[in-house]
Amino acid sequence: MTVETSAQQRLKSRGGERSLRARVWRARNLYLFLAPSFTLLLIFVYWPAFLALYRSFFVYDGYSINRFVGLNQYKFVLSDPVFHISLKNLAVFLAFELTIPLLGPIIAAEAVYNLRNRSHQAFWRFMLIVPAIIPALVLLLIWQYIYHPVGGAANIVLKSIGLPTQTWLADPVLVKPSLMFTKVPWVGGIWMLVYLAGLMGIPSEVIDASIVDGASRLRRFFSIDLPLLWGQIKLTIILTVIYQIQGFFGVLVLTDGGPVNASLVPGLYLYHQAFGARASEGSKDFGKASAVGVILFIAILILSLILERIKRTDNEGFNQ
Amino acid sequence: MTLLPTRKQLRSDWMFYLFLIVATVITFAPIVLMLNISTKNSAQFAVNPLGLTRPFHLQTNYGFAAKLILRPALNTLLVAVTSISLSIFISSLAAYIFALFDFPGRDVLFWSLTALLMVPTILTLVPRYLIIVELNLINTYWALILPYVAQRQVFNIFVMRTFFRSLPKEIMEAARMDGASNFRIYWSMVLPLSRPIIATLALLDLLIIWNDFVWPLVTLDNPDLRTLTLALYQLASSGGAQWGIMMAGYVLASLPLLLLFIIFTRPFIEGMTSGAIKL
Repeated sequence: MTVETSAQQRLKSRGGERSLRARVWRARNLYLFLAPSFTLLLIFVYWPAFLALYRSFFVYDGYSINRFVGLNQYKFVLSDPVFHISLKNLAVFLAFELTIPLLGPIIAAEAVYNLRNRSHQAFWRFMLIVPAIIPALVLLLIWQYIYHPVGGAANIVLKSIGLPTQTWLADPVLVKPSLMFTKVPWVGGIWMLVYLAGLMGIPSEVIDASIVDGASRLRRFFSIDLPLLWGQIKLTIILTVIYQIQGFFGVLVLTDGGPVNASLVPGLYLYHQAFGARASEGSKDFGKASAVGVILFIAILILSLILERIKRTDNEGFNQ
Repeated sequence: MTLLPTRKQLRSDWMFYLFLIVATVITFAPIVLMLNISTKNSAQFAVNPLGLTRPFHLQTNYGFAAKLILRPALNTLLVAVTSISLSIFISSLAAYIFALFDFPGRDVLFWSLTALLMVPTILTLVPRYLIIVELNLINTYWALILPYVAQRQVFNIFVMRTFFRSLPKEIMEAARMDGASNFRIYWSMVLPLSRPIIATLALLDLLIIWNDFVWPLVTLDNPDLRTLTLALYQLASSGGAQWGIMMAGYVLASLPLLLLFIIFTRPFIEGMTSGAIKL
């Protein structure tokens, strides 16, 4: 092309290669400011994410064994009955997390928000957040004592009212409810603050209007508060799902997945593949663990895309 | 100011007071249990584990527990302070650049940061460990610090970027006219104006690092380096049923954050609820 239109010329002078290089050169100090951030991200986030995918095609023990096996790790994990058990357990835990633990912080935020006395609001808000400041491990270890078969508080209470004692965390039937119960009464923490912020963001005209119209508090909750908190509730649901799919901290501390896998979750299954279960050293297979990681990543990705989709269509409906 | 509601408040709000009282009692029951048992010696625990027993064996239990967890607590403190300072410094720099400048590649870089929100930590746990092994950092403080800094900054950059964009641009322009460099504007204008948001983020980072258990468990087995959570876990699984000492250790491990939080309640809650932090 020999004849250039003026528009093309303008385009070239604005975004052409030379001027791009010049613009990059002029911004060199800015890149320098970003460099520490991105260097660390590259080494400890981007690269591991890629490495997880790469390693999942190998049998790799970190030392001598390093063999390409194609999709075999995935085949093994997806057909492993233990992995299936962990998925079923996850479903039970997740189903529970989406009931009372989801509702609790909303009700707690409502209770605080509805107090007429401002200083009482601040006091109860404080009381509800304090447990979130106690290290999670400390709370788990207190529950470890409570469930202890000999001298544990739960059995002492049962004995004192004449009921037979239990083995709690060592009981295949009781272990899941016992684990869920460690977060009783499911009200406090950061989520309560998020909802409280949402409630405080409701314009006072809306609430005044509802009072003038004679709406009861319950009516107001369902017709005003709940719809306006919908955004936060959905966020809670998405983050709960993501957290539950990959979380295994509480189970690792209290049961290590036992008894006989009754409380095993996929995250802990991954951990065991890589670092061994507490009882046995086991064979370390970082490749298999990486494959589990990729599977969980895909599950999280799909679920959050679906939930995000629901969120969007809902918002459109709300705007109409 | 009294915490007792007036009769009028009670008549209209009794349901809420009742709910809050019940919820708080249940929440604090395990904490009270811990405090109570932390005063007992083995004999008292064997006879009366739940009731109040005298005399209190505070000095024995807490003295022994303090000896066990002092070093680990200092380790955690060192790791947390270093990680948080580094993370806040480099992520505020990045947020400053993203918030206030236009340069080639900005959108691509920012998009690649956004994409990281979709990468779950469970995916990177094992390879991150392998990288630490390869860098020969196993059993060093850096095995904790560097990944903490890298991981915490994503969220911090997002929040600070939003905040920096809301700062008045006129004064920064004026400073630039007067010949202040970009770094100068960042250091002596943007950072001081952002103190509340930085404090909130630092406190959130501290909560997460103080609580972290799995990562130190994987990367440290040198007893001199182990963190507070590792020490507590070992204390709990050491057996011997020294419940008094164990509970005293749990109490001591909870105190620093509690004190810090009580001091900073107001700015923390304001930071959390002001709308600056949106996930």
